Amino acid sequence: MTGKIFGRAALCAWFLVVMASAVDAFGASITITPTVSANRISQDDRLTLTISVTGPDARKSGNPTLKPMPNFSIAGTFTSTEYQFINGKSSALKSYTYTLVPSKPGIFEVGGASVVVDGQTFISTPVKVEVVAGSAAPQSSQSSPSSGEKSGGSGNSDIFIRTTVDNKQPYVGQQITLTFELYNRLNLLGDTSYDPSSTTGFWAVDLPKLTPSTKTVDNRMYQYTAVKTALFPTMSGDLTIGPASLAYTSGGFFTAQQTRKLSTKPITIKVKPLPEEGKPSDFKGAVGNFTLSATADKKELKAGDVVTVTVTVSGEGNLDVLTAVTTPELSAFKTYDPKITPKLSTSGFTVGGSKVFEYMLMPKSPGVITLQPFSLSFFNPRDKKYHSLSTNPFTLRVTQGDASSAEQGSRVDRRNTVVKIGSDINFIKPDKSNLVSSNTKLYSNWFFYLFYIIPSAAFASLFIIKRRRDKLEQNTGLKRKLNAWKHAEKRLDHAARLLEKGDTHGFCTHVSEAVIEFIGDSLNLDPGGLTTGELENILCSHTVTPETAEHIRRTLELCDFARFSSAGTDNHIQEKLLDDAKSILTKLRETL
Amino acid sequence: MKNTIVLFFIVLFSLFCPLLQQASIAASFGTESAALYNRAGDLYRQGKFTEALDIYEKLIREGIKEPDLFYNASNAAYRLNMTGKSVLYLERSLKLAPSDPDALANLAFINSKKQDKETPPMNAVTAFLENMYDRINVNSAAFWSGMTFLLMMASAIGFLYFGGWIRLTLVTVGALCGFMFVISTGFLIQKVHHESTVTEAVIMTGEVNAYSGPSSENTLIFTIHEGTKVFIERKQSSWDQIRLKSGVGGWVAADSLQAI
Repeated sequence: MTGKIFGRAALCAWFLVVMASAVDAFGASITITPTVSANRISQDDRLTLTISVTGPDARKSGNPTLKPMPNFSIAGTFTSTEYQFINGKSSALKSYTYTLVPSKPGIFEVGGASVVVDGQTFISTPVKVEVVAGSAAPQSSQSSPSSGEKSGGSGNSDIFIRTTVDNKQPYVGQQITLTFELYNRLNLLGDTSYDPSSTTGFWAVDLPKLTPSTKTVDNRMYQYTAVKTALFPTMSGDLTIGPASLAYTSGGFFTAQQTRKLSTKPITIKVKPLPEEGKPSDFKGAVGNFTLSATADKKELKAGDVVTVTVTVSGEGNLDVLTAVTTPELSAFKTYDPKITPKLSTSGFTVGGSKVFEYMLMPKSPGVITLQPFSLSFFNPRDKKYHSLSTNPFTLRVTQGDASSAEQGSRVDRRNTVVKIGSDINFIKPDKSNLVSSNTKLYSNWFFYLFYIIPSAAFASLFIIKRRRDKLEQNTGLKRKLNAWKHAEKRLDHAARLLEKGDTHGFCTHVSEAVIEFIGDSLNLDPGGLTTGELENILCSHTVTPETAEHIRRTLELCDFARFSSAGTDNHIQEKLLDDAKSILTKLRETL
Repeated sequence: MKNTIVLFFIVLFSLFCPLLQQASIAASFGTESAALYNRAGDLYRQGKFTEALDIYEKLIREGIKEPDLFYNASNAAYRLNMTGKSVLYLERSLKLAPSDPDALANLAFINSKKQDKETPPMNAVTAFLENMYDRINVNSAAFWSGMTFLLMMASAIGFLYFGGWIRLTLVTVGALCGFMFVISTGFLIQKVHHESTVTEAVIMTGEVNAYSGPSSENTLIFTIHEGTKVFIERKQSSWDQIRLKSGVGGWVAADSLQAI
């Protein structure tokens, strides 16, 4: 059941937040939305009303003023704040949750509230809630014997409760402490249900729980439990702290089990308005006793870098309503919304702590910039005077940001392209060890043309040689004819060497072959098939005189003769053969 | 046989560059002139531009044709607000070393300051060709012509004796070299022709009037200012017929300009 209700409430809240953000996009700086836990409850149920204040300016808002709800009493309040920073833009969601107890059945409107921001009032649309008469818990018939703060006197009771306040005439915004006390000697069974006092018109902050102890009243020892709540009046005039009640079940072995309900008397508080006399112009409603300090994370920076100035407000008082400090002139900087971090403390049952404002400032231009003091005005209820605090001024040294040093951590590329400022002619050339005069007319130098002539000549001659050789490769007859003399000479040389060695047989063979091969090469004939007889005929038909042919025939015959007889060893014959062969070859070279 | 040819060409190649280098030096002026040149550099660095320019001009009169000498003289002249002289020496320096980046930058800088605007080339192609033509002097055109011819012949001879992939490579190299040979030889011929027929000059005095004939009694055609480059087409007594890059021509007094 509760889960279902909670789920629906969550869905509803989500929807409203979405709606609120959609409205925000159209320029409304604040959206104020009431949400209820259920639209239909029984008289014994409790209703949770949440007033959500959202929007970029939400954190500037104070507590909402609830429209009077005569058919409900406020059983408790709870506040929560969420901040969001997206792209340097902040938005906040402040929720004020009230627990409402219906007093009678019917259809009622709840959640009418108004918030004032920068002099502008934002009003929420109330929500209708139906309260039906239903099965209620057993109604307590016993009226409390000891209600009110003086009920402690009736010492006969085994259990009694009371509420007290420490100051009944506070200033608006000054803390008063409401204490609910339970004195008990009974054996309590099961759950005791405690309904705290309604505190309409107050900003309530729960104080830390006290550890249960024992107390003696009228010589009787009681178990003592107390709950303290800090209350800050939000308006002047008579305000009433509603009754607190406690329902319990007690019993024992010898006594019957019984359920009772106790209530305390309401307390009226006379809230004094803040004095108009001496009110500083920048006073924004801070009440308490505060100190102010400011530090900068660096005093020297480059243009384009960001300096973070941390302003800390600390002391006693309701820091929730302190939404801003007075900032000095910051036109020399590019500014971002401050990041606000509250650190609340309730030690010593005094609400206080510190609130840190972090201002991110980016100097627009280099130079020495003095950052004027941040200030805060507040009213101190103890000495009943206004006080103004200010921080010490800072001097920031901003140097020209240079292109090469991209600061670590900054995601924006702030490098600049190097801009040429001046221009001039280039500087003179360096010194020399020797001065030479250039010849501008290289083409007039004779040997320059050698580089054209030599390669051309080389190419031309090589081309001719190559062509001739190619022709020889193809024509065997011509090749034989051209090489005939060379071969014959080689043969004769060989023959002469053989003769020196004394090889007559070989000598004769080579001489005759030299002659025959020469004729064969010159006429492109097969030398193997040439006989001495044939040779004479062939030679005659090739313009060789018959005398020469005869001479050749005789020389060859002499060769054969010398080869196979002792005549070959005769030196005269050998020399004659060699001379004859040479003269024959010379003659044939001319004629063939 | 093949080895002999390859060896022959290697020897020829290794001779080519040093021989041309040797040939490109007309005369060496020794350490004395170099000391003077360095002293002028010191004077320049001290800001004594007049003294520095005096020394540079003395060396120039001696006939030393050294691109850095002209470059430095141009710098000194510029510092003394002698735009005409500055451009003249810079042009002379560029004639010897046409692709020196410092000299090119300075010429562009001085041109941007002087009064007469240069006529921009018609389109990208002519601009490219003109730029290429201007960046090559006679010597480098000759060098490339000879070099590419040598390579072309070497590949042609190799073509006779080799086969397979070597032959294919040689054909490619030979064709490329042949193409470059045609261009560089064309440039060389054009440059030699230009040098022998056209004289470039720089206006040396503040404002010069150009007339339709060789006397101031003729019609005034245009006025040009110090530092503008012109071409001398004809000379007659103390008057020169000049033509601007844009094609406009006229007669100016011969003492108002100086040949590059």
